[in-house]
Amino acid sequence: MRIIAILLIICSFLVVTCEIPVGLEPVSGVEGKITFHGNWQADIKAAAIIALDELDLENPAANLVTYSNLINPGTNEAEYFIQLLPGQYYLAAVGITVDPGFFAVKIDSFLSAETIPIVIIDNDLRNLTTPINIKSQEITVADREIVF
Amino acid sequence: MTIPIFLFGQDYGKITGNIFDRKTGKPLYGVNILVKNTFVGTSTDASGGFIIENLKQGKYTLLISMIGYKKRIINNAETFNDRSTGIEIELEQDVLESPSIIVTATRKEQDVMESPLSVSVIGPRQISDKSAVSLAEVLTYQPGVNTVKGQLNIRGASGYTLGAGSRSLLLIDGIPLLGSAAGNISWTVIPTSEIERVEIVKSGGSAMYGSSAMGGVLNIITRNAPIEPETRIRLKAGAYSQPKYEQWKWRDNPGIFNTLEISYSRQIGKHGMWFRLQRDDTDGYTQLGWNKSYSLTSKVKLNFGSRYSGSIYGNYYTSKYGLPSQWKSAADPFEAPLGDENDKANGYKFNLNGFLNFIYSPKTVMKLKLGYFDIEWQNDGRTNNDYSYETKGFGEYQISKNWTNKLSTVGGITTQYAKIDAEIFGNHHSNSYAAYFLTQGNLKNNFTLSVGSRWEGYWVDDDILDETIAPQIALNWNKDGVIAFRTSYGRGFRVPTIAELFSSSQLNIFKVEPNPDLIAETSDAFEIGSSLILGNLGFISLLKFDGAIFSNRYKNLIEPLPDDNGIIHFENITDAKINGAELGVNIGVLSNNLIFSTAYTWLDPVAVDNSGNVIDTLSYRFRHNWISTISGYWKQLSATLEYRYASRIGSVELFDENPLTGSDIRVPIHLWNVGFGYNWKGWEMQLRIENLFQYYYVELERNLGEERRISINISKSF
Repeated sequence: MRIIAILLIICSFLVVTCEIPVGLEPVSGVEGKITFHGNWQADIKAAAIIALDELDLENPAANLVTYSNLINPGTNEAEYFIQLLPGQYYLAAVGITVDPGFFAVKIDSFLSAETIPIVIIDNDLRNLTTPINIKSQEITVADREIVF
Repeated sequence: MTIPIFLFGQDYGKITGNIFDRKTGKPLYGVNILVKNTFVGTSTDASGGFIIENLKQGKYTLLISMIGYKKRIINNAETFNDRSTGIEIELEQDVLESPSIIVTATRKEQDVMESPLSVSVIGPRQISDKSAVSLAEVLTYQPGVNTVKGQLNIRGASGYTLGAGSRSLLLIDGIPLLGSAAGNISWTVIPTSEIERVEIVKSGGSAMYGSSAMGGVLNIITRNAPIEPETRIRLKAGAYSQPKYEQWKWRDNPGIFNTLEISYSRQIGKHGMWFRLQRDDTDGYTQLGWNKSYSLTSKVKLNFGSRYSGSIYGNYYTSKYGLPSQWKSAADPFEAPLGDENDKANGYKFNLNGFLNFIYSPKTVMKLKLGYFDIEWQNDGRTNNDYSYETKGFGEYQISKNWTNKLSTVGGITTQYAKIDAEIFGNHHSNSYAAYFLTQGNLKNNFTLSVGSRWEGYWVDDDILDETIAPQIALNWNKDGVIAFRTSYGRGFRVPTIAELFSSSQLNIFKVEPNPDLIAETSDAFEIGSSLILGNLGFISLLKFDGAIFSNRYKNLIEPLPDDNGIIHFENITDAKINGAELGVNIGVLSNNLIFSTAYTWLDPVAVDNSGNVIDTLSYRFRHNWISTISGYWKQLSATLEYRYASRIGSVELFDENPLTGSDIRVPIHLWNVGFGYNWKGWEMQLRIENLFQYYYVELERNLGEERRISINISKSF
């Protein structure tokens, strides 16, 4: 009985004092459908949505936070997702002009050099200039239509 | 039925005896009796009797073992010319029931305490307590062992190699079972309910088993048929929980799974056989985690008189399954990427192997092993229609010789041939030849020295790829089976698989391209370990302790790496080292009706430059592992609580954490499992809940760990 009592005291102490670990939780970000009209430009190897923390399309590398899943050229319709921490961001659809694997591996180098092999293909100025607000553990939906 | 092991001449004595259960007094069938330092042994018949004949006059030590009972060592069993020595032996039940006689470490039967290498042994009780369908579910609760997305890691050797190579060798009854092209382990073909024991050799390198064994060996010993005909049925059915978070819910009803097994075993004359049919059907916990399969397995144990025995084992497995790559996104981690929802694959695996044992003389035994492996799969995906057809043959001749009672040698030659026709590898063939030996000598003061080596040559498409020599030296000190110390050094090697040499495919956004310039990787493995077994210490019925520290150094380690252009090649990276320690304790109290087991493993897996300076952390390794199990048994009831902790993986290859966005975050693993069992008139029933608290984690980037699942397992033998 004494042993069981000691074990119960130890277990109770552990339950009270230990924090219950939390694993992966729902994330926040933006997702949506991206529709392409017209013919893809030959020099575009993939498309993506980029998230910027400041709107400066002349120098997106300076404000780039991250980019979405990459979309293969020739695609008519796709879904995109960008994981983001809560805050305000600007979104822009871009074409990537290098091999997607190369782009993924070299992204840090591109950003530090503030030159990134992308072209803006989003031609809806209202979409480009309207910020989106990301809230904790919520996914904001924002569809995009791209006309080449 | 008594099967004397040999009958030579008439100037010898014999030992006869009977073995009983100490508690019930009933005779025990199938108890193994091994005469130490010889190849002589037998097992008891239905009346618990045994006869060991043709022993020269002298004193012998008998090792008595049976699963579910404490082992016994009978010293000074004396034989006299033309006379019989009778012995009555009682065995005491042992709920811990870890099998004590092993065969893998030195290729000869010996007590686990005499092993010069670290060996973990899993008995059938540990498998059935977990209602395991896949052996991988059990292995992750062994010290020094874990899996990354199903890929076996012994002391962190393998990491994750995209399924293209394994540094741990899988044997079934001592015969390799790896696929020829990728060399990875197929858990699906292993009949978990037909396992007598699993031996995991965690050190020693490649001296005994060659390429792929550099990180350890997993030997699955399948059971033999019992003396009475037996039919077993087993049904396991259950459901996965819906995701804990509303945002992640992706289907209306919970995914379900079920496994049905039927097996039949009997003796036919002197021979024994069993066959088993298993059907699995699971929805999986992710959109592409579904699987439907059938598996037919059979084993025939052959006894041709006193000098010849053999075994034939066969398995045919066919399946259709979802073809998962990674999750759709962190927002929808259970779903498949858009457009890939219907990706699937199908295939079959066929394995036939066997051995013939020939006792040439009381001191010389020869063994011939043959194996055949056939595997085919075909993907049916939106962008992936790869296929592969592989076939592989294996042959080995082994001879064991006892020079004296204190000196023995095991040696052999082996060859393998593999042929592959695959979309992603091309058409290739490979073959290897090897020769090995291991000599063991009993020195003074309870020391045993083992010295061995292996030469192996490996050819791909008729071009020599590598020739390697792998020596091993090990020392064991063992006192009465109570306390033992061991230390070993072994050279390991692994030749690159055809998959690593010639893979050409697309992995996510990354291309995988061939690298035919790969060379074999090698390792130097050092270890010091100790084991202690004590019983009847006051209220403690049994105390087992096992600890080891190890240092494994690798040269030219083969790992998949993306280059500056985002193209993945398997490359011989610079050198690496994995230092570590493991400590396991088992405590049984209240006559072993309450058992506590815990084990901790620490690893320091780093890549180093030519000067030995640390340059990086090796990917897909857990630095800390802690496993604990508490089990209680009372009358017909049982209960088990399991906990597994693995620290956050320090490094990955493809998608690293991004603190700016919170993406690809990695967390430690905390898993709790609970099980309750009840035996009602021979019907074994178990309720299990795994991942009790629905803890979410990733072992491999963008692949969620298993969701909580609840299952009921019912089995019965007739």
